[in-house]
Amino acid sequence: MRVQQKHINIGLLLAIVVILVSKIYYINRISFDIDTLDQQITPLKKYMRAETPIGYHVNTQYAGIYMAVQNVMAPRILYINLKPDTLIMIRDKTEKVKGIEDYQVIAENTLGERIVSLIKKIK
Amino acid sequence: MIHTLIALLNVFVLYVVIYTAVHRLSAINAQSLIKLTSVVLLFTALSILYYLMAVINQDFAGLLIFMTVVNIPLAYFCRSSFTEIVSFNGVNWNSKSRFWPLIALLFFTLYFFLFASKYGGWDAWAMWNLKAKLLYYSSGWKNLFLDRMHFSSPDYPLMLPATIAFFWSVVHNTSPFVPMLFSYLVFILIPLIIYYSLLNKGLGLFACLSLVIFITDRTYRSLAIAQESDVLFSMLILLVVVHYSYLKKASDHHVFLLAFICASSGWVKNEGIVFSLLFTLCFLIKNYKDRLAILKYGGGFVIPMLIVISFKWFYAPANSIVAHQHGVSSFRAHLLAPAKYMTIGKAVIDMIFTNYLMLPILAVVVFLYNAKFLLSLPLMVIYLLMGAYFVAYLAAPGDLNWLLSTSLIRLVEHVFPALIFLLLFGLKGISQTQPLHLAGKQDI
Repeated sequence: MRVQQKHINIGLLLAIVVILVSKIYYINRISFDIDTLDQQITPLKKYMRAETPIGYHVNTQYAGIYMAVQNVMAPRILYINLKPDTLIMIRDKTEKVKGIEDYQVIAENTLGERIVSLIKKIK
Repeated sequence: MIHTLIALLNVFVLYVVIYTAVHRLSAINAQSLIKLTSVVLLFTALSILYYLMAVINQDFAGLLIFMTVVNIPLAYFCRSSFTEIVSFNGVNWNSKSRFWPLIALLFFTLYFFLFASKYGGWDAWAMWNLKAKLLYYSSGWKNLFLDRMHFSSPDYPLMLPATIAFFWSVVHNTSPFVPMLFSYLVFILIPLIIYYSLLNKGLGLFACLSLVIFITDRTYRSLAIAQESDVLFSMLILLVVVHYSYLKKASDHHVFLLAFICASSGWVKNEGIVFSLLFTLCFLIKNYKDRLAILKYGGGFVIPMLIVISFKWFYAPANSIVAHQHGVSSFRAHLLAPAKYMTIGKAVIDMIFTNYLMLPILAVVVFLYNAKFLLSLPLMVIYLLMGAYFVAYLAAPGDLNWLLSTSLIRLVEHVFPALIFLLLFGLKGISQTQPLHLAGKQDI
């Protein structure tokens, strides 16, 4: 009887470990919004100089993802209310560019539903 | 790879050192509870070390060298504890007291498997894990305090982000699995601490009941997997009241440990600073004649509190509630707004009866069987903490209804595990007959 209890306890412990490992394996295969943003923004980072202030420009639809973009951009801190010379712009593929006519696109990533662009003010 | 192995080895040695210290200082004779306490203190120690590393502009390699140099002599002095921890000979796999927590763990793990998100809740990725990222890239950690980071509550202490940053440095990348697994660990630690605390006090039936309460509590489960700091803070409050319940005499060495854990709660959240000051105040009032107790309490309290003070004094901006007060008259005007009292009171009652029904039920039972217990020191501290939260809501700027809807549940959660432990412990008189296999002291 006691041997049975021992086997049950060890079996439970093993099951817990297996579930945990499965969770990590399973969740690694799912792409969350932050993962998508990371894939979109990371290739643009090579165009950003360390000392250059980077701003953030969105039209209404993506206003709420500022914090997610900031998370991906860390340790660099974005300027949200100012418009420095270099901006990350996020927009829908069908959306027209508004309010940044004096900027030009340096690099762009069209992966997924959004277009993520690095834009710079025309001097 | 070598870097990771050295770091993990250092973490293990530090755990053994802490385990030895807890073992020698505490009046607890259950290994399980000592091990669980040591895990919590290990995270506190690692977060403090990581913060100090950032403060003195060192990189992680420097921290590892420091830890290795300090750990080598400590490991020698604590060598007898290594075998105690590593050896599985003493583990009684036949015990039924191990079966119930394993069943509960299986349930928690299944829940975690089904519902835990990779990046946690909003607070996790927009605040805590973002701060952890800035700490991980230690050269830019002071960016935490820039004005444009105001959304991430930069005035909050850094235990959670610094712990995550430490383990990110161990694995050498910002893997989302680190905060995810850390939240899992906290998720399972709380029910285990309560279970083994009650079990060790001979309250096996209530120990099992506590597991059932946590398994069936949807609020606890959803908050615990959100990777936020509230559940971590609730674990420290729980640990304070558990250790207080084991205190035999106010002047025992155990007080040193109790004070250390209490002050550490201030390293998790601002609310923790309020809790640690309230607990300290109550402890000092109760033991004001016992100089030795006060001296030992002060000795344990001072190190974590100095860390918190250094953070608040040199780096953190003012808290938004404090910053929005324009003198005493402004604060008085907030306090003299009767409509606010009604709004907060109604929200609290709604919250408790919707999400925390077990608390009033247990409180009524304790009132009927052991009413005096409701005036014990730990419960008085919890009442005072709730009072402080009430005043904070009164004084808070902005839309009160929005504030209540977004934060009240988490504030009640801060004290929920401690209350479950205390209320079940308060019922000890009516738990006369228990199955023998549940009543004994068991090792984890």
